[in-house]
Amino acid sequence: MLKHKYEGKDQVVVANWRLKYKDYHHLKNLYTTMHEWLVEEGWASRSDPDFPEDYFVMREKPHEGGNEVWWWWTVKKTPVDKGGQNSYYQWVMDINVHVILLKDVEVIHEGQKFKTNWGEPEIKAEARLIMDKDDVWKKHPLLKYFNTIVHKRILLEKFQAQELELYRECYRFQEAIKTWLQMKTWLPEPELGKFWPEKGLGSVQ
Amino acid sequence: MGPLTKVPAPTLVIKYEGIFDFEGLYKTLVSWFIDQGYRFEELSLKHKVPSLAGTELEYIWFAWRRHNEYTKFCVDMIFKLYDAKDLDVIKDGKKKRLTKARILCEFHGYLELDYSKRFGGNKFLQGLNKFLQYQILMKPMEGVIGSMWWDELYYRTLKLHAVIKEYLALEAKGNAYFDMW
Repeated sequence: MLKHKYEGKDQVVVANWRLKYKDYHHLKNLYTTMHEWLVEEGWASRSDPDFPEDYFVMREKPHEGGNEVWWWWTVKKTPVDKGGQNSYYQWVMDINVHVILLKDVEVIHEGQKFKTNWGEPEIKAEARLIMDKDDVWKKHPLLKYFNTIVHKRILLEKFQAQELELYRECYRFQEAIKTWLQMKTWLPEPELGKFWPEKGLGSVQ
Repeated sequence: MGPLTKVPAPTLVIKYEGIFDFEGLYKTLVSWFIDQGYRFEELSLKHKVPSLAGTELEYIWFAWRRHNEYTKFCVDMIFKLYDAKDLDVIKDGKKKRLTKARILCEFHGYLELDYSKRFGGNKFLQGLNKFLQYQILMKPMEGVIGSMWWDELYYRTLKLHAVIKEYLALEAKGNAYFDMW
């Protein structure tokens, strides 16, 4: 039977954002930057077979103005508490990227010629906080009656703290992409610094 | 008529064309929300270069703050830049990067009632919510549910409006209600 991946899960969408950029950029380097940020922050494993890429497709449509690329990632992280890994909450981030009008172009950057891309990537991210991730409370004969009241009333402060942490994490990911695309950022500290060359070119000086 | 979930405040708009420090304005707006205790969310941003006239940028922001267990202050904001071009300007002997563009900025503030859905469970709770809204929170002659919170939200949004006017050094800068809230 087909069902939605979050069906039956106690979950709340904490942050969701969309970024659309139509200009020169290096798509492969954008992909790498996003991947590296997720790996560095513990959202995914560095091992490629374990990386949660649900979908990747590239359609070559040069007669319609450019190629089209899609990729979908569902990355998960278990938050760390004072006592170690939290067994009740789980952070999940759905990342969908859709690129259209993608073309290979050459640009002159700081006096040197580079091969790069021009196109319109659209990045969407949705961060969810999942409660009772392993359905331990839900399946327990006694605890199942207290699950809602515990997480909505008794542990309300903890729930709000988790929500805030996840919101910050999701926007730090956005910040990393915006830094890379040389867009205006608002967090006090830029993510990733300038380690990954911006727009895939950076400075050649 | 069921219980209300949203009480909107008037929309505020700013339009401006000229040279300004975009980075500074952007950071000022975001810090205003954060300093006021709002949770700031950048829901959508777009960057396009449609013509040689310049870049088109669109930011859609949403900021919210829990005011009490029943009410949440929310501000939806659209910030658009048309024909944006970076310019290097020498000011006080120092080179500074400014932006020449047309700005359109819209704020929609509203109160969200019963955001934690405490009264959302069954018909009885919904009826209780309606009683609370229409018999207790709506004061005679005011006609707005939760007017004491609505006032605060509106005057605070006006302050944000004033911050932008001040930043852009508009002729009409200032806020007649600066001493409210």
